[in-house]
Amino acid sequence: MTTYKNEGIASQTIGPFFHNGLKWEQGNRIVGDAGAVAVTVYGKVRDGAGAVVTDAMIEMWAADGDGTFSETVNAQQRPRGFARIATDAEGVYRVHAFMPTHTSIDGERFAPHLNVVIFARGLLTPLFTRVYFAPLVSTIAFDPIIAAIGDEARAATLLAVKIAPNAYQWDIQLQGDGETVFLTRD
Amino acid sequence: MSRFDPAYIFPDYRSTTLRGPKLALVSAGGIMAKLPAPKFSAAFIKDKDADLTVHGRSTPLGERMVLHGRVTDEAGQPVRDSLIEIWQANASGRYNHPSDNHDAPLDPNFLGAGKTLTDSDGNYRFVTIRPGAYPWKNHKFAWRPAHIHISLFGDVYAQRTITQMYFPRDPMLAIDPIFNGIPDAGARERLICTMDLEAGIEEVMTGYRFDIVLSGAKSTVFGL
Repeated sequence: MTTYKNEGIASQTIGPFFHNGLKWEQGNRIVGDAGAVAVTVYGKVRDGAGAVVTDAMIEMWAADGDGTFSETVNAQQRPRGFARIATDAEGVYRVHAFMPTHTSIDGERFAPHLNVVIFARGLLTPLFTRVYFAPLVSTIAFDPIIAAIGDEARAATLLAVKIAPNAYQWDIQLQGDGETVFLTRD
Repeated sequence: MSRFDPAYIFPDYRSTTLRGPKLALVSAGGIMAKLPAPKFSAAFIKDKDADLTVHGRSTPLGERMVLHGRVTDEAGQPVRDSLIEIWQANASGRYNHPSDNHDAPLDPNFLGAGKTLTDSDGNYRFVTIRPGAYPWKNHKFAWRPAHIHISLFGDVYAQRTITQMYFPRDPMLAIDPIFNGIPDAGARERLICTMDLEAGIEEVMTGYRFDIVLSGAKSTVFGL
């Protein structure tokens, strides 16, 4: 059995009043390598009744073009691959990122994606997930996370939909019909 | 999720019922512990960011306090040079936030947000005021116990945590569904700081200690 020297802290909700505490200037901007293709990812967050979630905070964490996570900081002295954005009065978030590439971690190969964490009032524990930039689930069936989902319709909830050459829509359904796939935190 | 985290749906806290997912989480297969956490440059922290009491024309109302502690992983190793952000209500229980319509006074000298990095041994220190309790609409006579929101990044992505710190012997803890959403009594206790007056400043401000253990760094777990 696993034993721990120290026992971990439990999560609590971010609540509705985080904006002043966690707001970052240009928090929704991920800086890529020179030559990286800029893309905008946007979408709507909805709850189990279909209502828009106007007080969620979304963070995205992107690997660099070489598939590793850069320690380089942006103009605001933050990690340049990291974005933080609150949903607006319509439940919409919008992140200016760049097209991610394949990543390899400990010999496991992953399809191009951004790592995502969602916090909100009503979420006592955050939701971890990913957004992929593949047209079809079948094109990224090799990806270990996609494979673990084991259901094409469910896996498709992690695909951003190409709306324009540099614009992708990815909606997040917290609960109910079309519920987004969420991941364990391990 | 980590073994001490609350369930996604905890009906006593009404907002969870439509926001928590109903389907089982899919295993990330250990990848989250292999991704580094975002690291922030020391230049990201400005001079007065760790002192929430010096952003007005005079000192905010309320009990000024030092909040300090150490951030470690489950093996007891310090989490170094890692960003901690806090935000909170003022001494009257009102947030400096446009959506907070609690009929309690705003304090022009208190904005309620701070940030700092842990030092090379995992220690952090803020100066703030003790926040007030405030009512919310979850149920009849619902009041949130006084709390400070804390956001932490840790060393690996799996350690990303947002939580709330509470104060000792607060009778409102017993009626708070957010606090009681944590199933394990020991884990609830660990969200309560301890009085540590000698960490304060004599005749000026009180002191409280809040140590934080971030779970999720697999390599540091004993017995694997």
